[in-house]
Amino acid sequence: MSYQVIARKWRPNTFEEVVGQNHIVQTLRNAISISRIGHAYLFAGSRGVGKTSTARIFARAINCKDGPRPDPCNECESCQEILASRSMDVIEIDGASNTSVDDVRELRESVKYAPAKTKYKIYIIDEVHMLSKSAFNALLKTLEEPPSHLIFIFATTELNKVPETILSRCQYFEFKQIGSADIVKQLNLIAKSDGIEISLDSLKRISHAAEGSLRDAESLLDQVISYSGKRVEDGQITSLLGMAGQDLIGKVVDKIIDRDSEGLLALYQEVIQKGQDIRMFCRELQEYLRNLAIAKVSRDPKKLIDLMEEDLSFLMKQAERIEVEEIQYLFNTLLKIDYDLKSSPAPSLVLEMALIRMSRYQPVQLLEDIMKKLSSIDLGEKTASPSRCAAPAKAGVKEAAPEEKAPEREEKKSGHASGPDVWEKILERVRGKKEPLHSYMASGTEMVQLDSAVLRIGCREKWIQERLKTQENTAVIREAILEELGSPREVRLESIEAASAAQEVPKGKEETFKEKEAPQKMPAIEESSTPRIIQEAVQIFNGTII
Amino acid sequence: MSFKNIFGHERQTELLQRAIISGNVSHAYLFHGPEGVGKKLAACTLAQALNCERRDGDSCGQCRSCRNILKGTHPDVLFVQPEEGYIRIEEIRAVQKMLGYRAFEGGWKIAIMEGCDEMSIGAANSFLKTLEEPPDRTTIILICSNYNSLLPTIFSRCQRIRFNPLHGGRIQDILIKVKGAPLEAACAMASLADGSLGRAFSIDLQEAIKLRNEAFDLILESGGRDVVDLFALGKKISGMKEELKGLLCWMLTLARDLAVTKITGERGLVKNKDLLPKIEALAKKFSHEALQGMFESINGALASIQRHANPQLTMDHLLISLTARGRTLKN
Repeated sequence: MSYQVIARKWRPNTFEEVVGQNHIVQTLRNAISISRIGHAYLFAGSRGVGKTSTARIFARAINCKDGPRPDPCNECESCQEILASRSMDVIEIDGASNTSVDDVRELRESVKYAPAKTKYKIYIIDEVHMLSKSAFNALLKTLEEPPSHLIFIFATTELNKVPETILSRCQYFEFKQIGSADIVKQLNLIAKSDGIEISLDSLKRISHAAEGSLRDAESLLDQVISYSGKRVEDGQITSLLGMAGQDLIGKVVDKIIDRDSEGLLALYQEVIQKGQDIRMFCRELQEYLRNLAIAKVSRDPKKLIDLMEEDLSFLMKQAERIEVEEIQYLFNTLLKIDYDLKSSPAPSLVLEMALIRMSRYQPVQLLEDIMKKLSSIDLGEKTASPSRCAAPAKAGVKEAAPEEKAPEREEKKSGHASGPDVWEKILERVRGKKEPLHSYMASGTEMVQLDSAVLRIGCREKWIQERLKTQENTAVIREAILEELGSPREVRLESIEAASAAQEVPKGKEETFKEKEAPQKMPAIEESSTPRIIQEAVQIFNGTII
Repeated sequence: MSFKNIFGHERQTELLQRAIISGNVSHAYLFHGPEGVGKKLAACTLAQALNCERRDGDSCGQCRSCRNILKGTHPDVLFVQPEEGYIRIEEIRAVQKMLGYRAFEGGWKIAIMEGCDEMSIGAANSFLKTLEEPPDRTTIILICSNYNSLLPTIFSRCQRIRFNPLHGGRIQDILIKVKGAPLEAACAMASLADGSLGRAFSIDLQEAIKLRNEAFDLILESGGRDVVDLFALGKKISGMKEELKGLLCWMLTLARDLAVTKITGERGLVKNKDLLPKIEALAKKFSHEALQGMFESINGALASIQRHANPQLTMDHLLISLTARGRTLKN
């Protein structure tokens, strides 16, 4: 027998040997031991996690000599036959090569016959996602009510391509990606039994590169062994796996942070010369950025970052020099070119240009930040001392001044709450009486003036004024005023322009009212014919209209 | 041809040789790396070495078996290439059938599949089972330039061996030594070859430079083009078929050179060294953003062509966007 690669040699033969899929193994064994074997199973999961192996073990366990038993003996005739894949009752079909409806028809013909030697006839259909639509459909009836001797086991990497009508007829198991620790453990076992000297650190790197697939890890280990023989040096691993390594990536990120495009490109040339795999490089860079982001935001980064001490401290130092937003930008840039790297005939150029873009990142002010800044200005104005607030207004824009306080002074004296508060309360009462009216008033009107005799309401739109004028509505408003203030007022409706013209009168008195600064904004705005939005802008930025 | 005669891949060949000597030959290899660096040569040599009558872990190149493999007439060594841009399921079936028989000559059965990144999805999937567990004394060698476009299920089943681009100086040396090229031409060819010895050998220098200059003109004149000319030009270019991809690749390197020059001014980083003065002059005219945009448009067009999009529409679109960009520059 010629040499077999590790992945084949170490293909698990018992449920115990299946790595990292305890949830499935347990279920299948229990199903056998309590005699509840389903007639159709679907195993799904990414490559190299044990789907086909589990299917084969399961088939042996069911057809083992002493009747279905939780663990196959691997010694009886039936097990031996299945192991050598010459059993007549366990048939493994390559779904990707037999995709047509004719293949399924053939299958349906053959399933009718009882098993030759054992209790069950088991069909393992691998890569089942490649069956054509009509092939799947031709299978439905058989799959739903198969003869009692029949068991189907489907295996696939692409669950999304399997129709739901198939799914609903199967017991379906999702195989997990295998954890790094499990992979390392298994690799270690293999290395030990084959007499290979390899450090735990190297195994960790291999398991990392394998991305949760045990077969990938085993292929890589094979590759490493066939290059370095029985003794594997730590230093060889990164280059053998085609990885750039933490140091180099750290340098690259350094250059990006320093905006040193020139140095970055020179460094990148080195990477290319070394024959670095571009996509792997990109992925390593992404991972580095991920670590950097975590170092930036996490309180206990050690927990989440799987790095050696010195690398981690380097990373932490670097994290101080970069903002989270920039990390996000860099990461996104890499993410966007991922597809191009896959398909472009010149991936190295694509990555190079992306690196240039990354090294020329200009921090963009986030909308949130801008908003925050704006609102802090706004707030500052409200809480600032009166003189500070009045100053810009006086200096610049006539209308933004805190002048027209006159009416409210009387309110204060009479013990009522100040202007806007009263208005709010009146509106609240209106709401209690007539909801629709309130909504007009809240959005379309403002109180212009309130004194012992008159309440002037400014309307932003003519139609609102018309609405309020109706007898019914005026009555409601009067009632509300009476309830709130304890005494009736004359209600005067006017358009906002008219109102602001009227406001010119109390000017010059401002000095006296400075202490009553706070609730100024609303009336202030009405003062001029300048568009409202400009007025607001002027207020927010303490500006001047030139 | 002996493993010793494969230039620039000492580590890779050593790995293969060691595998043969220690009997650890994997049932599936994936040789990946840029075009024309020696992947097929290495695969061929591996096939020869496995079947060589001398059985010393290398290929003698003299015995009947070695010669037959080189000629492609060995009954146990099958070469597969994409036809009309694809490897189809039929070809995979042929491989499976051939691997199903015992070796005629009692040695190893070997399938060498070039351009396997062009396998159709169906073909790739139908190959999985064979690739995972082929018969004894069989090895399947997949060759591709970009293994990332393979299904993960394919490359997870192979031992992957990366072939690096060759160093420019190295190519130059080889050209002088093997082809007897004059120094100057060798230098230009080495820089055009961009790490690929195969390209360096196959390059008709005149032709390549002509194509490259055409690409340069496309970029140079992008601003001053009339819309009517533009469509005529698009039609002409898209008629180039095989060369179209090459042209776009050249445009890509030129756009990259322009951007690199713009940013660093470092002459050593420029790939098209013979065009340096022109590139430097042109780089001044564009803003960095414009160059990034240009690169992106060309890259987009290349990706579309790669995906078998309509060449004329793609080229029209590219020319329009280049022209628009050139126009804004002028204004």
